[in-house]
Amino acid sequence: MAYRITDLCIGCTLCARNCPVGAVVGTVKQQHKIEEKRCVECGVCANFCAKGAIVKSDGSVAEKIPKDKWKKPVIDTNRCSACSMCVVACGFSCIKISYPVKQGDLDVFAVLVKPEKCVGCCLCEEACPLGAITMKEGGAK
Amino acid sequence: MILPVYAKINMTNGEWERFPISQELFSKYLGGKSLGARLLTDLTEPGIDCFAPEAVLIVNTGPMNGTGAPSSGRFNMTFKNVLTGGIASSNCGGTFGMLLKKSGFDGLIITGKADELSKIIIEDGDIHIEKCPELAGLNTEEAQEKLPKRYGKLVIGPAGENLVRYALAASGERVAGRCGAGAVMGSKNLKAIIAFGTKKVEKYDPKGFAEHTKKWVDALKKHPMTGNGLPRYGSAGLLSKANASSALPTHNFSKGQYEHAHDISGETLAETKLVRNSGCVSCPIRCERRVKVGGKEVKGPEYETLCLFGSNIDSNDLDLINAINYDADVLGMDTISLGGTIAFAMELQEKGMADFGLKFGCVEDLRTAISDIAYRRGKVGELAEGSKRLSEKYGGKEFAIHSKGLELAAYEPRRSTGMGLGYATSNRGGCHLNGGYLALMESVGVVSMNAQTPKGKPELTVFFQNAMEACSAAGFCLFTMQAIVPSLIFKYGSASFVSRAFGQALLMVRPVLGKVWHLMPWILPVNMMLMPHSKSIKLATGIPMTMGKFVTVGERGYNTERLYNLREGLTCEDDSLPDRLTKVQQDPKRKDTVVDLKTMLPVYYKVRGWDSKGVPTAKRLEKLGIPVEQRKEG
Amino acid sequence: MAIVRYYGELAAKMGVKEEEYPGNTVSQVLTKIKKAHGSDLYHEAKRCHIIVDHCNAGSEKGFRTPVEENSVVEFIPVCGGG
Repeated sequence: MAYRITDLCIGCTLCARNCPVGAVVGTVKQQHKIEEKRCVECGVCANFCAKGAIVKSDGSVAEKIPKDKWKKPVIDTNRCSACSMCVVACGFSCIKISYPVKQGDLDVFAVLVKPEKCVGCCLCEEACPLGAITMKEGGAK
Repeated sequence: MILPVYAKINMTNGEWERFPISQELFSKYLGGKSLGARLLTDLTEPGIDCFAPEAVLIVNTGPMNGTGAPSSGRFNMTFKNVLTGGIASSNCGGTFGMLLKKSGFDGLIITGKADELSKIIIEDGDIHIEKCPELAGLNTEEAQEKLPKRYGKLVIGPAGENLVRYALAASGERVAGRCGAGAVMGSKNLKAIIAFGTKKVEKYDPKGFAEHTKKWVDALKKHPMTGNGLPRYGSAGLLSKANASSALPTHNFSKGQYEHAHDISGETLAETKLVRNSGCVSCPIRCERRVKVGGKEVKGPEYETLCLFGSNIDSNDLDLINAINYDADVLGMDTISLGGTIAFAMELQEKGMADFGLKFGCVEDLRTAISDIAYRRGKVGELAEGSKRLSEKYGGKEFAIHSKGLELAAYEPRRSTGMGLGYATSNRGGCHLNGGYLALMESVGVVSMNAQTPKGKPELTVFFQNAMEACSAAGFCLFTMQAIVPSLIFKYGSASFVSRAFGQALLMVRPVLGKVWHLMPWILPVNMMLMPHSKSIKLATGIPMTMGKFVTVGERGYNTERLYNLREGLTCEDDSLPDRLTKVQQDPKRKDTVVDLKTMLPVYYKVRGWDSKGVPTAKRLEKLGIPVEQRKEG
Repeated sequence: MAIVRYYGELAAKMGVKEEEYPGNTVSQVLTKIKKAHGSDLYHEAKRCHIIVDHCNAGSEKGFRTPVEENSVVEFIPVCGGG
């Protein structure tokens, strides 16, 4: 199951550049296409599409969420074991493991280092084996 | 039950096909090195050359890879051993394993040979092979930078391309080092394999699995070894204790203590060089060292590298060890075999038998020499053949420190005789992990056990060899096993009565441990937090796994590997160690500071259910469900 | 007087790398450490690998391992690896 791009697409490449798994292919000014096997149905493409050209697998038009309402990961640092599953899952290198505060400090955890690059795809939340990541609107306050 | 899907790739014509794994095969062997051994045996003719086009290279994961279970990021490479001619399995913690699985395959079976240097690209359940002349000659770091960013990568360096017998394959900064995996890739003109995909790793009981994982991670974090010792000092932390126990190989395994050991110890590394610790993907233990070499943050050395490029060649230059560790990784060579071979060459020079320009204690030009070995340049380039072949040409077999052809890791077996037995019997050659790793109980760990007695060691060796084999087969890191040592011992300390009594008890239970394999798996029909692996497998795959069945998977894998070795011409004669370790006393005053293989081997064979020549009996094979017709009289 | 050396984490906590204490056995040396550094650090030292003159106390006589004049007693934090 995957999202599709309809002929409303004008080929602005925004979805292709912001797809967290690189599932969108296409050239400028031409209708883009979503690779069915690659798509994880995160809906990020729809959030970038100005033309409403993205439809869900059931055929309905995917909703466009305004940027200030995007979900961002909030990391429970007490639960996090710094296992890096989220680091590998993130398509835009937004998450890194923190540096030790002082020499010999073992208490490190995942940190959202580039919140401005986060597209809110929830892949990190899915990857976390400990449930230490929750996606919250607007991110950590 | 979710069955694994393998792909069979022919490098000669670029074709590939799906290779399904049956439910029977899956529940019997799980994956990783055990299933690898089964497939390698079934898919190859006996006696082929390890570099022949028809030779098979298996790159596979275990059922736990990508599930997020603790330390489950490891994948395995199985092939015909370039150094020993027997079985080879090499384990690596890079992201390639997880991304291979997410790309839709649990394993790859690679045969044939490409005409030109090529790379295999795996994307979303599809595979294609492309030529890659642009990667030729690049080191593992440069090659990975040239490949697409988010892909899981497995590449070889110049050493692999030049068929150095102990060349490695690298994924990120982690490497599958031992046995020459890189050389096998090089022989197939395969420079790189890259994989990417978004397939979800399905779990049989996702909710139960998540609960169990949380509990297990908590246990690992709380355990003094996996929660404090390993992340703080890495495996390097073993060095001081090894030195104190006279188990630190020094001067090509001629001594067990090094006067400057403190300069190269894990504590010194942590205090003076360590930037931070890091880890493989999905691992909460995080034992990896990060150090600076030439201003750049790179992977730091493991215990084995510190010893083999430190005490074993009479050098206490920690900066140089860090640099060599980095060099060996990017050039693509296993630091254990490389270090072992260099020490052997140094002793040849010392004894006037051959001169490669390498001398104990003279390490100024060592980095140049290592580069020459990777490119097989000049006289020192001969070291690319490994110490066994070198000793056949120049003599010195008694001090060529290898077993079956694979150089020993950095534990002096004369001060941990069980480890000696492990080295001798290990299927892939002189390997500590494949060999049961009794050194951790005998000389470097917290348990205080009589390291010299041969009594009880065969039984323990068999137990740990099987348990660790199963752990690898599932895709777990062996370090998760270290949490088996009860926390109580750490509370009281290694000098305490508790630790000494525990060590003694382990040796005393030998009559039980010796017989227990006849009663497996039904004697352990439970899952306990002592060994949480089995329950984790059960929840992830749906295989009705118990602890008994889990260790039986290991026993089955171990016997399969043994049968492959016997088929390829290795015999009980090869279950041996060099004379230096079996005949020369480490401490001239103590008769027991030799590895008493003669006493231990017959007991070991008996516990394993093998005959006096080390051949698995038909009865034992039948019980394990291994095809008996594959048994060859030794 | 026996020379006592601390390594790694323990040295940092003790604030000293090397000291001298009298004592005929490991356990007597430990008692002196308790007096000087307090009970917590004493327990931590006790949990370490204890090496007397390059021999592992665990494989000798444990805490009863004899310590001689000018002996070197080393305390190394426990670690695992492979």
